[in-house]
Amino acid sequence: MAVLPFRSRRAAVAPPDPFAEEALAQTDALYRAALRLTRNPAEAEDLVQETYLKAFRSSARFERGTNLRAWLFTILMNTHRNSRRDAARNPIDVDSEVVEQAQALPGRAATPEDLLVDATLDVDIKAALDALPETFRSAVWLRDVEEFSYAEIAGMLDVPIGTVMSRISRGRKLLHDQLLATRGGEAHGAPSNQRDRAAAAGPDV
Amino acid sequence: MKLSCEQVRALLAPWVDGDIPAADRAGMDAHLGGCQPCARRAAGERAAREVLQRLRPALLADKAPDALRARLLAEAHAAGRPPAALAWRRLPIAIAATLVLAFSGLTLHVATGRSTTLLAAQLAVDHVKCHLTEPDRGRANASEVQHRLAELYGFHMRVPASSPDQRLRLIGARRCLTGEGTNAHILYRLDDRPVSLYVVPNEARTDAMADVLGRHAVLWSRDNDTYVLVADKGTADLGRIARYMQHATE
Repeated sequence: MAVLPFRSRRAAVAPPDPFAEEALAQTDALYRAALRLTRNPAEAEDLVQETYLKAFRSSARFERGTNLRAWLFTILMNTHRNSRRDAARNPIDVDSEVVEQAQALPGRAATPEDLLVDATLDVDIKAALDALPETFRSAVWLRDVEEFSYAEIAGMLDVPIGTVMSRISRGRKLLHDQLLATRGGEAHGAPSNQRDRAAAAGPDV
Repeated sequence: MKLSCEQVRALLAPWVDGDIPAADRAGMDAHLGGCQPCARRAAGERAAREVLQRLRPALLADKAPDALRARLLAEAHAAGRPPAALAWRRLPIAIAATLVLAFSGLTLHVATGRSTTLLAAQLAVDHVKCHLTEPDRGRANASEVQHRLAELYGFHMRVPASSPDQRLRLIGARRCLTGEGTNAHILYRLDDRPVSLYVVPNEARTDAMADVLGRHAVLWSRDNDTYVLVADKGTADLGRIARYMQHATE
């Protein structure tokens, strides 16, 4: 019976690996970032699996004592960038035209900033984030939600720190315009309708 | 030195974060005090950051699905890097219990109700047993297998088909006699090595991984059913196969 020689088999079990455990503790954070990047749960899962596959295989190249979390995010961003490049979709940088178009969103009656801060719901913010061009969405997410430093983000996105600052600044501005447009619609008396439309116009998440 | 609008805008992000060198801060404050357009822009960006910070707990609430966790555990094991915190650290006990319980379905079912690791370990034993006795008659037809499982045993589930891409061949299915016969056992060959997919209906469990008798068992739950994938230890494609099985049973 195959169960008998278990003593010798046990010796072949790999020793527990603190690296893997520490890496897997970032699963939720990486999945959330992947979800914002791809805006599609199935694609997000595949992106995270691909990220860990690479991380486990190249873990020898990870320097102990450095930031594992930032290292994993870097692999995630690279993997996503490469898959997009393969798909020959967007170029790496967003041209200014896209930015201008996004800026041209109906600004409407400017609600006071503090009202915006208090009244925005998490569904609104997710819809508004997902409506941003990806370049700005990822920069803002890494800074304001995952709270990485400018230098860490520069490493992940493979761009100079000045570019990171500019992307975050423009991303926040676009996000603000987007939220104002949503709230502006509500101020005009069509709250649920406006939100439904914003969700419908958004990606399928 | 006075800053231009362009210089100010380049530094707006760290200014909004309060993360700007003191030398720049004075110049920024002076400019923003006197320049309406820049001040408006700064107020907007600050509001966006404040919204994000206030809603941060909600934005951080999304959790990775269990099925993904199971795949990642499979990747870790396949890469020879098993995480330390997993229950299989207690596996010597599980193995001893499994050896006893493997000969007594009823006791086993009671015990596995409490321990997911035991369930996985026990199915790994069943996997070894069943693949020894199930003849390989070549490729089986997935819809026939699915039909037979429903007809004979009342298991209603999607049976993942053979896939040349995955180098996976369906060879048959049976009722798993351990666990009081409530589990379905679908048998495959990956290249020429045995692979099993078990379906434990009406039982949701947390994801787990067991390493027993030279086999890996990967476990995940969906819609109140639990799936357990068992393959030889060191199967480098375990994560990929888990993904295929998850997609195919959806």
